[in-house]
Amino acid sequence: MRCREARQFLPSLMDEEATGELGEHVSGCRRCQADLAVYGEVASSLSVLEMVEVDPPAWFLQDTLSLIPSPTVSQRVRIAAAARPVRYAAASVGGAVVGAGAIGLWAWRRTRRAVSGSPQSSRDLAVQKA
Amino acid sequence: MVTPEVLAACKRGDPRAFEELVRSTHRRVYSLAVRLVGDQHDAQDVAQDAYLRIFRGLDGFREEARFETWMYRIVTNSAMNLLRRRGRLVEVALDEELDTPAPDRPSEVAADRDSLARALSALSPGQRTVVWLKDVYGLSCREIADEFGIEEGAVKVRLHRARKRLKELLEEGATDEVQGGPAVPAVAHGRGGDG
Ligand SMILES: [Zn+2]
Repeated sequence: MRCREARQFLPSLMDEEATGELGEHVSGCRRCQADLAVYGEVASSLSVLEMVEVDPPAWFLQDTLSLIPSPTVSQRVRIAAAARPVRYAAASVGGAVVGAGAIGLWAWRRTRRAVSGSPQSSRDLAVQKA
Repeated sequence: MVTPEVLAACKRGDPRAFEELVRSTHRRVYSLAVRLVGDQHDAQDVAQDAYLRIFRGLDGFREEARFETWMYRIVTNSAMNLLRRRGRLVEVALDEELDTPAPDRPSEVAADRDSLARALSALSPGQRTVVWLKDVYGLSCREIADEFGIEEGAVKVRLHRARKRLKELLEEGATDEVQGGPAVPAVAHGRGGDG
């Protein structure tokens, strides 16, 4: 393959690998490599343009914001549920701690009573007297 | 850059998340619209139509795709609809394919922003639109073909020719003298984005 022929394919090599005869030619040809480098340079300059912005008129933003739809009832529920997990999580952890504490205390008292056979508080005493 | 958290909140229909999405993307959406339709007033209509479709369609957006590409595709679709209504789609979709011979010597290119803007404006509307959508905004040839209603192969051929022509124009460094004016004004001029 000669340069003139190879050069016809160079722009497409921005998207795909050079294979076969074309690949062989380009890998051994400085002129085509230089050309390919120029395509690469143009491509990278182009990719930056995404961030080069044209200023819209001043009212455009507010006008567009006014198009935002109001949430439906079911969406309100989803939005509220998504806002809650932190509070729910804190409440359930707190509840678990309190619950575990109460169970622990109850079990500890039972064990103590079983071991000593004696009442542990005035309330227990009153229950026993009754 | 729109974060996954904002997208998730938008999918729940959270208006505050939509507001954040609009604030962070409206310049880019408007810029693409003006580059595609070439008229500021039409670009506003296109951008707002695209936002209405984004609000409605976000639930169907799948995270494996880049959000911005999905958004650009919707803007492109809105722009093509407007051009079709104006009877102008043909100048973009069915572009006259003129191939010009490449100069015989590789040389330096002046790919600064201004030269690039001038070179882009010297391309035909169809070639320019393909370059914007593929090389700047990252749509695939398949997606562009779908939006134009033409074969993917035709998009590839046009892109190939457009890149070649763009390189020539930049190499010639004579784009200052290109007469006739751009069909799409303000192709690259504007403020640098903040992302
Ligand atoms: Zn060569």
